[in-house]
Amino acid sequence: MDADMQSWYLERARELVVELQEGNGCRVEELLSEIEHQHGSELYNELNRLSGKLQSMMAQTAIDSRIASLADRDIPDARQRLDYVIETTEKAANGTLAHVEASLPLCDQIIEFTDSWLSQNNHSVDDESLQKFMLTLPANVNEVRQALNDIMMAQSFQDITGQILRQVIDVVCDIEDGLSVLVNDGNGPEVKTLSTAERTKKEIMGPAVPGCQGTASISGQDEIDDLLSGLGV
Amino acid sequence: MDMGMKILVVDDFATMRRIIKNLLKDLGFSNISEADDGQTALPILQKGGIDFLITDWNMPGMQGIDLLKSVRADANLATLPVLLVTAEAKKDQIIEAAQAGVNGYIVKPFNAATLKEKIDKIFARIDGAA
Repeated sequence: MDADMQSWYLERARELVVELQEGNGCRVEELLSEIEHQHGSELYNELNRLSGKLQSMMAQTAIDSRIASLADRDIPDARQRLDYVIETTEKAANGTLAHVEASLPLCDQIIEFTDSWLSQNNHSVDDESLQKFMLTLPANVNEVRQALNDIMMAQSFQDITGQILRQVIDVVCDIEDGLSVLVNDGNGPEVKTLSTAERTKKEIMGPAVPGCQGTASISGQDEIDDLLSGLGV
Repeated sequence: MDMGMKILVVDDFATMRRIIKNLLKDLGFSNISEADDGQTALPILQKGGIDFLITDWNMPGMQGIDLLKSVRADANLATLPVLLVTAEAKKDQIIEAAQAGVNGYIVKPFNAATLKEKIDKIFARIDGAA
């Protein structure tokens, strides 16, 4: 009890003794009621303080467990995801370069022949070299066309890696929030604590990443087709 | 299968929409619209005129699975053929999509032959049932 409160109680006690001695029942009751009210509100304040402390302790525990989960699982997972992004982009870049390298000589062959044939003065459709060229042309152009298609398909890495990078950005944001609370001694912005169901739902989404927890998927289109045909699709 | 049918391609990644659109053009389809998630796709579908829906699953706003459920719950769209093209490949998700009434399911990364095979299969069933 602080000094102000103490002197307030002392004053009321003295007055109470005087009023009792004088037999002033009404005033005695008033004073007792005042003292009782004051005592009650003090208890209420103390309970409020304790409950606030408990809430902050509980929030701190939630932050601690979120940070523990980040360190134990989310950060290693994010590392795996980033490794997978490097691997996927490298594969796409190498695939694209291989198709370009295979197509360029075919294009050169076509350009060289047409240039040299057009530069001759006596163009003849019976020319043996022209016939040979024309016979190989459809296959060569088809090969270039197929390479262009494969280059296009190789760009689908952007969708897969984009989804994975978004997940890593989420983890970085969680770390940022957690650290900010720690630096501010529990007074930072509120840390989002997801329910188990929300967390499971969030973790289940996204592409399969080798070595990453919770992303285990069916191995490929054939297995999906088998599963779906069993379900009548 | 009507090669002039109107197809809606829904994916939040523009590169993937472009890839699917190019593959569809290569297969001979030319009437193709795009949307970047379920929320923008649904009003387009409700307006009418779309004959085939190709959608991703994991998108901000409205996810593909919820778009599929909304389509099946709408009396005017209930029979619209829907093909999911997605990186989601967990067993529970595939079962959920089947139960929601998906007509085909392609896992990313995929190739042109798979897309053609699934589209052929979906429309062979529809044409067979007609």
